[in-house]
Amino acid sequence: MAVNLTYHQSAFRLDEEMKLVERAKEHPRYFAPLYERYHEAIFRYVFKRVDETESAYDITSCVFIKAMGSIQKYENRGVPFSSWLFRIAKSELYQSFRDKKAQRTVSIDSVTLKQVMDDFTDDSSEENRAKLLVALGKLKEAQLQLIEMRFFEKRSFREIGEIVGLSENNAKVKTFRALLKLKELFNKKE
Amino acid sequence: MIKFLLDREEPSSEQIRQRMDFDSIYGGVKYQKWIMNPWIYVLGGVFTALIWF
Repeated sequence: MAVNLTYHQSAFRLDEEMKLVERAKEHPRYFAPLYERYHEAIFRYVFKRVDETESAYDITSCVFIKAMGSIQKYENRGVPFSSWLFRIAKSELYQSFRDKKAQRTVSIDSVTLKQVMDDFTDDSSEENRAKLLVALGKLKEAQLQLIEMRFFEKRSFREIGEIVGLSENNAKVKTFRALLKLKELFNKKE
Repeated sequence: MIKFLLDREEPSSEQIRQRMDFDSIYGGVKYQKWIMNPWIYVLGGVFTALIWF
C-alpha cells in the first residue's frame, strides 16, 4: 500500500527542523516557519475527524496556540516535530468530543472504502458497504484510530506509532489485530 | 455515536491558508500570555483600591 511520504524526512531535514524549533523557543514569533510547514497537515487531520469545518478551524487554532505556548517543554527525540503536533491535535480533538463541541466523525472516500471492503468480500454492494460502516462504528476508539490512519489516510506504521505513542512494530501488530476485529464484526451474523 | 461522511469535500490549501494566518494564532498566544500574567491582576487590584479609598 502506498503511504504518505511527506512525513518521512531525511536526517538533514530533521536537523534543519530542530534549528527552527530552537529558534521558536526563543520567541513565539519565530514559530512562523514551523506553522507554515505544518498547519495544513494538522488541519486536514482534524477536519477528517470532526463534522463541522468551523470546529476543525477552531481546534487547529487551539493546537497551535497550545504548541506555541508549550514549545519550551518540547524535547527532541529524533522524530519529526509534526508527531508532537499530531499528539497535541489528538488531545485537543478528544477534549472537544468530551466537551461536546464537536462530533466524532470518520471521513472516508468511497474508493478507499471499496479497497478495504475488497479484503473482506468480493461483493461490494451497497448492503455490504453499510455493513462495513456499522462494523467500523463498533470498533473500540483506539482500533478505529489505527484503521483510520493506516487505511483511510495511508500513514506509515512509523508515523502511526509516533502519533499514538507506540513503537513501529507495536503499531503494526495492533493495526493487524484491529483489522482482524473489523473482519470479525463484518462477518458476524446479526 | 460516530458519524461517517463519505466523499466529503475538503477545503483547498488556499482556503486553509486564508482562514488560518499565522498572525491571528500569534495574537491568540499573546492574549493568552497577557491574561495569564498575575501582575495585571495585582496592579488592577492596587488601582481599584486607590480609586476606592
